[in-house]
Amino acid sequence: MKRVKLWLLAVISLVSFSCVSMLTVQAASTPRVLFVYDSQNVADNDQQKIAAIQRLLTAAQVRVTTTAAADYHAGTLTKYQGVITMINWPQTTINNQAFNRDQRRFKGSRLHIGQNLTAMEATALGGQRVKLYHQQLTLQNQSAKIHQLLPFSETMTTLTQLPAKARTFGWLKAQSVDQRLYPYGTLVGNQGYLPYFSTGGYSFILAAQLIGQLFGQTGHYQPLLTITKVTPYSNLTVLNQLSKRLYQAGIPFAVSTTTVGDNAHFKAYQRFVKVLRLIENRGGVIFLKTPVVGGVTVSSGPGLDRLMTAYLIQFAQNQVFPVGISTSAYWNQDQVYRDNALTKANQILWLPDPATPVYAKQDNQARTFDRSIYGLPASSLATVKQGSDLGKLGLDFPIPTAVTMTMPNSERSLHDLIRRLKRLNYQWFNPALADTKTEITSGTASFGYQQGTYFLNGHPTTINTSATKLKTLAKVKPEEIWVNRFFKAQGKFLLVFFLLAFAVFVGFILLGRRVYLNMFKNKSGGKSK
Amino acid sequence: MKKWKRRLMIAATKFERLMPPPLLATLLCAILAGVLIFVPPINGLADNGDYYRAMYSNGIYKLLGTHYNYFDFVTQKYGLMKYYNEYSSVNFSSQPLFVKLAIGLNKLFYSKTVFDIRFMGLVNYVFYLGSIYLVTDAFTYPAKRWRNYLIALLVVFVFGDSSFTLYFNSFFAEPQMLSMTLYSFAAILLLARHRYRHRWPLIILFGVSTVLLISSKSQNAPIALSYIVVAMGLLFLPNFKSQRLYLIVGMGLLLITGGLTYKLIGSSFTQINTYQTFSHGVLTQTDDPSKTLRQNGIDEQYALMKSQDYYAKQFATINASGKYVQKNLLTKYDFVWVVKYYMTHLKQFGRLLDLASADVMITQVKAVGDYLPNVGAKAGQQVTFFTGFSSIAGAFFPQKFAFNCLLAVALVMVYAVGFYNDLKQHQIEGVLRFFLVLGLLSMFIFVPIISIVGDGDADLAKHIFMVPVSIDLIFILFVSDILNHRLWHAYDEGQATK
Repeated sequence: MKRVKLWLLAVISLVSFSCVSMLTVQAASTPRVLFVYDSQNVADNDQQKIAAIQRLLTAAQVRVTTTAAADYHAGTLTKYQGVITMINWPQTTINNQAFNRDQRRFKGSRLHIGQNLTAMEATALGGQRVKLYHQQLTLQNQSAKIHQLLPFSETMTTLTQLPAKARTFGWLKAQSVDQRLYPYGTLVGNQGYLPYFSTGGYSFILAAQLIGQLFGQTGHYQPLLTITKVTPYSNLTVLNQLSKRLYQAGIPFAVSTTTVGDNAHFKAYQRFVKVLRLIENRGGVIFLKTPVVGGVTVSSGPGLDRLMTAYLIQFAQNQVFPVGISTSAYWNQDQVYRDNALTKANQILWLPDPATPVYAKQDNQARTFDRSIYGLPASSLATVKQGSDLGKLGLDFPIPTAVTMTMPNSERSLHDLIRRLKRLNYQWFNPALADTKTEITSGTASFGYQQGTYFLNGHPTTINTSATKLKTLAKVKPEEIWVNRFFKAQGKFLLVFFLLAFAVFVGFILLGRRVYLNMFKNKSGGKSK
Repeated sequence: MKKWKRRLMIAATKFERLMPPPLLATLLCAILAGVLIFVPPINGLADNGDYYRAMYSNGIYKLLGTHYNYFDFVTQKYGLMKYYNEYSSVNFSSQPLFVKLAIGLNKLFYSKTVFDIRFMGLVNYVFYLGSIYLVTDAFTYPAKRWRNYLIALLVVFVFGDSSFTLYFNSFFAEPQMLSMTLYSFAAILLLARHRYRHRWPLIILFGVSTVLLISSKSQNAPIALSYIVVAMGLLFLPNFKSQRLYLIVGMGLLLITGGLTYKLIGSSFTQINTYQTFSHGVLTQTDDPSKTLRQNGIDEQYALMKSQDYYAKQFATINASGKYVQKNLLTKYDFVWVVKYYMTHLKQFGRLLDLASADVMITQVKAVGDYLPNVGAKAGQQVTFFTGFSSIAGAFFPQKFAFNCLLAVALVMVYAVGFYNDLKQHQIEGVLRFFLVLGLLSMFIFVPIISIVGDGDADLAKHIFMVPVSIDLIFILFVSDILNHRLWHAYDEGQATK
């Protein structure tokens, strides 16, 4: 027995050592990029752009550290292979001389996003700056097969007279008489430029292509259809129907759901996991969505770790095996969230940030994962009014992408979803055909997924649709100390005592009344005698 | 020997003249509370997340650049807004009056930019001491006997308890509720015992303190009904016929205050309460609520929300304050649904009420720390100085709601005897006292029920604050009445000295 244990220990330590060494190798190969922005410009909701760039870079396997230009310290740039500057508030200039100087001297990859492209930067790109004022522009590809109308732009700086080696990503066409074309994304050597950034639509796809190219990540990915915002409180009948419809249509899909960490014996929970098991059997995979954040502090880490473990263990006990974690992108910018939740999985699906992200310990030191998927709302692809319907064109994506649709909550919205889905002309990514193994480790359990097979602690396992017989443990009774027992007994005793006393009291009153009345009766009786 | 005895007697009379029982009680309370809340390192209560209601609308904010402690430690210094304050008051309350007063004193004596919580403590302290004086006076008047010192000490033991005075250094409304309850109680009792020649100051004191009490917190709105019961006693005042109209108008005002306090709860508060009634009430104290929910017309999945807070303490499965829950859950039930549910699940309701009764006498807020950081106290550490009464009562008071009901019936019967006797003798004392006790007992019984129906077991210990206060008052009243032989009939100097 002891020998077996020793062997086990040896094997475990060997495995974990190899894991660690794998991690370090990987860390060395991923480029590190410093992402500098001038302002969050919350008034224009531009913090979403910052979050989108962060997500995009993580999905492109780039390690990104984010900082505001004002917080930059001289010499920091030397630790990075690339720098991205984003201008959200062009009315002001970046005043941090240390950053301006370091950026000028920087030899690695450089990307400028937004306005205020300096003459130096333009020269480095080998082009001339042209300012476009008050224009209604259309973004298109060379052949104009794909085109999308952009919102009216006040000012925009584009480049002309680019050298022959320059690569252009998309063209901007003005609605003027001459119908001139200006380049959108430009890449010259390891220098890049994007005149503006958008979190969705064709602009986003082109920007993702450019960023992927700049940091050496070129690829073509089929999107993964993902149903988001599923909770145990969603309309489970609709969810069940949805999975059935998708199964019948032969569409592989993923579901991003939150869960609860207790009350597993409730019928409600059993019903919830049954629907999830059905999804697993219908070619769907489950992503565990991280919980909603309330009043967290720096010390919330252990609590989060316990909660995530409870989620996963309770899922596993009911044969629901998530293939990854889905989360709002800002969780990767927070040390507590990253270390206690995200690192449990090697596959993460990055969703947009909520309106007001709540951090526990923001450090802006995003890390990369074996597989990162960028969650792109399907609505941003179906822009019929503004040009080509991107979904219909079925473009492939330069980074792993999930096209997300919100969980419908009624029959009607289910039909609506199916209708919108039919309009998207994608060859959907099938997780069951993926070679890379996804893995989640939590506490003592680990579960994986590879080529359509689920693994529990390394062993392949099949999922039954029927409810699994739970090993019902005897109820743990809280330890009763004698004091509590005493008070309990005392409470009951007093109750009985009072009831008795009360009865006696009432008895006495009645008795006394009779005695009192009899006194008069006897007297009158005596007198009459 | 005789000489010694005479000297002792003279000293005793001198002491009695210099230090009557009310003054002694006030002085002792002043020392006890003063040491606790003013002498550094000060004690108080840490923020449980509710302070913002009293802070921002009054122009107080968490000082920037310092680590603000929730739950663990008391915060002493806050910032005072210098410019326009965009936060408007979140609900109708009398609490801002007291906070504004504290801010005024702070600006006058300390600083225009930094707020020291001790000024809030000072305001609470002054009101509290006044109420202690009046209430002791009411318990002991007019008997000039040594046993009244015993009553004074009892007042100190009960209401000088640190579990009450710790509240002073906080932005909770409880300290004002405590002193206002004592004021209105003392006013009625002093009136009953003919303490002053004129009645109107006491009647006004009763009215003002009761209005301030009812409007101090939205959950106090139903208490207005209890105070209507108390005020009914005033209708029996002799030679009062011409003023009865005023009195009825006054009672109407009380009702309106209660109604306003209830009506003007911010919509977010209604939603918090509606949600927690469900998650912290309906879903708790039962094994698996899934089936009963379905039977009562709510999606059974919501059973999984058991014990979830409206605002998640740390993490939550779904944002309870979000649109989804609002649309799909909160519209599915209302107050009537909850009442009907409990009526059909009496066993569960009984368990909830027992849970409330278990908390009745625990007045010390155990969820938050009482110490400042950096004084060597552990996070969330509790003060044990002068908490004798609250710990004894907390440990020994029976934890069954049925017991409370029986106790209330017994007390009503006892005081009904005094009421009957005095009514026959055309005395007012027993009459006023009976209605006073009846009003307090109605709080004792109904506040837990209302808390459970209105907000479940969330923050239960704080919601039933009026329960221990009312039963403590009745307890001292009972003891003092026995000591002064005035339980069964109005006080009679001749009989008492027999």
